[in-house]
Amino acid sequence: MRMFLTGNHAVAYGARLARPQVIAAYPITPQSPIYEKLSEWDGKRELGARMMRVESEHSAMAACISASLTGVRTFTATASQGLALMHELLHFASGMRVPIVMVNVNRSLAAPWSFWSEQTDSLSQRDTGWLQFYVADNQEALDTVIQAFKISETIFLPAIVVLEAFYTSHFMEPVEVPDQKKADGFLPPFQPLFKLDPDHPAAFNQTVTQSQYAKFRIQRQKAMEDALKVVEAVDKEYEDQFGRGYGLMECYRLEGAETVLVTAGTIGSTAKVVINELREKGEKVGMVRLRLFRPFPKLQLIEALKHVKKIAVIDRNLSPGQEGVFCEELKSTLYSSHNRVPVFGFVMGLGGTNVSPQHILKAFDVTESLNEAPLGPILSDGS
Amino acid sequence: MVGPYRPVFDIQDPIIAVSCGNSLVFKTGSQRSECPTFINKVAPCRQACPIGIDIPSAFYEASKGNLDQALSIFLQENPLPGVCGRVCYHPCEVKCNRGEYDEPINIRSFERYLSDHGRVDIGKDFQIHSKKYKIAVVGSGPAGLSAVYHLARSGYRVTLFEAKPELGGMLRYGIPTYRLPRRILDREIKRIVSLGIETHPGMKIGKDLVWEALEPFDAIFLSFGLQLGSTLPRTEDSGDSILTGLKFLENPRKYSLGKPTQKILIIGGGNVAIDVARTLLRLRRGEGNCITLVCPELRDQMPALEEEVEEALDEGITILDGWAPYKVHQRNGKLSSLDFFRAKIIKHGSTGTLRIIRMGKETRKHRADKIILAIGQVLESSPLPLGIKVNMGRIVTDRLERTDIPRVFAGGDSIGCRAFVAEAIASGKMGAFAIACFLEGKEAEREFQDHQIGDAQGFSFNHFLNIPLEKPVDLRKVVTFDQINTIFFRESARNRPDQMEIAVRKKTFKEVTRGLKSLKMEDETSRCFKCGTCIDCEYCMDFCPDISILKKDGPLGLYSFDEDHCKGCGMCYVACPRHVIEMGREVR
Repeated sequence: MRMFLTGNHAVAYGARLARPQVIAAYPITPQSPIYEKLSEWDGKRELGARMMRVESEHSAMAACISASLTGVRTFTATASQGLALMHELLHFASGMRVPIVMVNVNRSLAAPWSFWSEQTDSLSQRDTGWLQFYVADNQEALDTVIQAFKISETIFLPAIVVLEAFYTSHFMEPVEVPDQKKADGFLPPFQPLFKLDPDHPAAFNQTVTQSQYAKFRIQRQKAMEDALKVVEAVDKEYEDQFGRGYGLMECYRLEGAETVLVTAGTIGSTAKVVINELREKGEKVGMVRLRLFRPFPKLQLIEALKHVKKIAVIDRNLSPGQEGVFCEELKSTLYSSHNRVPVFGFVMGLGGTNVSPQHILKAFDVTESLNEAPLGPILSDGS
Repeated sequence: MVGPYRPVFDIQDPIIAVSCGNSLVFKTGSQRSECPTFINKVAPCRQACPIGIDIPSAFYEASKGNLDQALSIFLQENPLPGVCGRVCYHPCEVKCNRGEYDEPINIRSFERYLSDHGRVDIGKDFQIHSKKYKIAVVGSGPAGLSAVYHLARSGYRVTLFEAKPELGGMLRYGIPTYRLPRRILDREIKRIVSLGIETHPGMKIGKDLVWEALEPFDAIFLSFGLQLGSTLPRTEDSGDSILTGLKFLENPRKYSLGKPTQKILIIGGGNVAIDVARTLLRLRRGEGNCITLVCPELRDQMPALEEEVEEALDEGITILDGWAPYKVHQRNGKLSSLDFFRAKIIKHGSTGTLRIIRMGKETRKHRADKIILAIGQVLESSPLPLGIKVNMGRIVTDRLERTDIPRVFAGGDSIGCRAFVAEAIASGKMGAFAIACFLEGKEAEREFQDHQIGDAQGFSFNHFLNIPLEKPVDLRKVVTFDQINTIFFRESARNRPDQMEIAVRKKTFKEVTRGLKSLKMEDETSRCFKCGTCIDCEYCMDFCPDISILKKDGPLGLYSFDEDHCKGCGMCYVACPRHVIEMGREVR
């Protein structure tokens, strides 16, 4: 069914179609409408899930981990400070290999207090062992939530699907909402490998020896590496059934491109307009919009960029004292490739400042005009 | 397509930490820098007890209902628990840690209770007469009885000489029966003598038997006390109107003290003076109007036991404190009155002796038909064996009660120990110890340090005899109040024994103070902290986060710790209510 939905409501529909059994969350702007929509359905007894009201995001995550250990499908949503509060338990969740799916609506972190879009909250959780998807529009948000359950429950790692404050969360777009039967056909009930079971008592997550710990970490890394194939496979399966697929990244007009923009999220949508204009002028430009940040699709990225001459990265985030996180990760990946081209790291849109076509065009201009990339980051305050 | 990536859960190779076994594989002991030590220590009551009785262990046994075992613990150090349970000045209670919490434990009543209710076959643990040495003990007061007891326990053949017709010394001829019934004394003496003591009552050395008769003995212990009451200067001969407290107490009924209207003045502020006053009151069927006690000390300086003074006052004895006699008046050759001056007691700086000095010009006259002097005692002037030194009316010995004659030892009041029963018993014990060291060729000074309790004058005879304890004890470590974990104890009042009604008791020689009732006694046994004594409460096991306290079921019954897993966190040390556990740097 085609509906006119905000990104938050698209997520709510996606979560509902996945039939989670436990939803534990705590409201926070700009994520609250997700929880409100799910609660509304719960009030009408249209939701099969048990909604848990908790006193904090920390508790929400603790509840999801425990629920998931009993063998049920779990979902939660948060943003910014809420995600930061969960941090400790994010490590727990991936360490305990519970396939929780969470939506995080990117929001700038305090201080100072702010509500607008910025990727620093989710990128700060880079090393917690969660899969991270960055989506560009509301349809992709819905589809990715459904996909994420299947991926997570296959490799037994939790996943975050990242939207952007107001750009996707509150912006309304036409969204194709699959019908439940079809969704059920794609996503069968969760089959846990192990669960808390009073009939078979066991201790979970007890102290381990040093070598046991190392072994579990290596196993998790292996699962992350496997996840790349699983994400591709699940996306392919989804595309077969629903007609929409996204891949690990979106490659836009890369044929013959010499200068390529690498970015993530909604900036990728805006950039398409700029690229189309430049292509019309005969400029050899293209774009890679990263969809999967963890695991980082290193091989696929090297392959996509192997013929380009220059790369411009636009990050809506900043690691203080270094540069944009996507830029840094890309550079680190390219170091292992044969095509070590200049990479221009632009940091734009901090605190939700607008990244307009003009800003993107300027980034292309700077990249074209210089032979060597400055050490960076190239900062813009949106003016 | 997706299938191959799905991991297979294998309990031998799981993807998360899951366990159906235990965590012994984690040798957390490697984190330890300090480790607990489990050893019993000395309670302050024991250190304060001149006899060094292991009081908390006895309380522990009694709390389990083992009254016989508890009594046996008292008998390890003290042959006279029934006596001490009644007349001891209980310095133990003054130092009781519980006193800093609410009120001290009633240890004296406990001792009395054990002696009245416990049954012990005293001889069964000792090899009586196992050694060839023969020892003579002269005088059967508390010091002499204590000496023969501990000597007999040590295996020696002991002969006890007593000048009086019956054994007991001052216990029998000094302490009134309302404080110490004779059946109690008889019972205790019988128990001591049952160790195979050869007794010779009614045999006074130097009179009935020459000193030379003691020649065949390998060692001699002199404990004949101070048998003469001191007299005032210029009052020696006043017919029978002036007599000493000692003579009076020896046989109160013998002295004709006239009707209750005859005015009697008792001079002195010690226990003898109080005993005289209260005995006299009873002879007068409670009529105390004409009995007055005058002492140079102020009320709170009187050497008599506080409780004895209180009881005397309760019974109606008049005490005039801070007055010293200086002149006796006679009329028609008969005593008529005494003059007193305001007195003050001062301590002589270097010798520590007390002196009475006059304060101001105030005097008072007091009518008196009779005077009983209770102003101290001196050695009888009977000749002592050649070479035994006497100084200021006391036999001279060193700290270990050795006289200048190698095989002659002396103790008790004769050497000037403090005039308490417990001190005399301790002195007899010390004599027995010194004699044993002498006979066995042991270096007594060093030996003493091995068995000394805390830094006290007392030591453990049981420890000296090397009798195995249920749990070993470090005799030098004394548990202080701040080392007790009081969180485990609720505040509760001390249990006090009942006393006979004043109106009734002052007319009779029956015992004034009754024994504690068993319910109250049980409460006292549970009130006692048992400082430094492991009572198997196992709080250490409850609180150990690593389940690393090991209970040994061996003969020592001691706890230890699991070296592989104890992290040295000290929870057991903090939890232990009675400081049996200490943390110490570990030597690896």
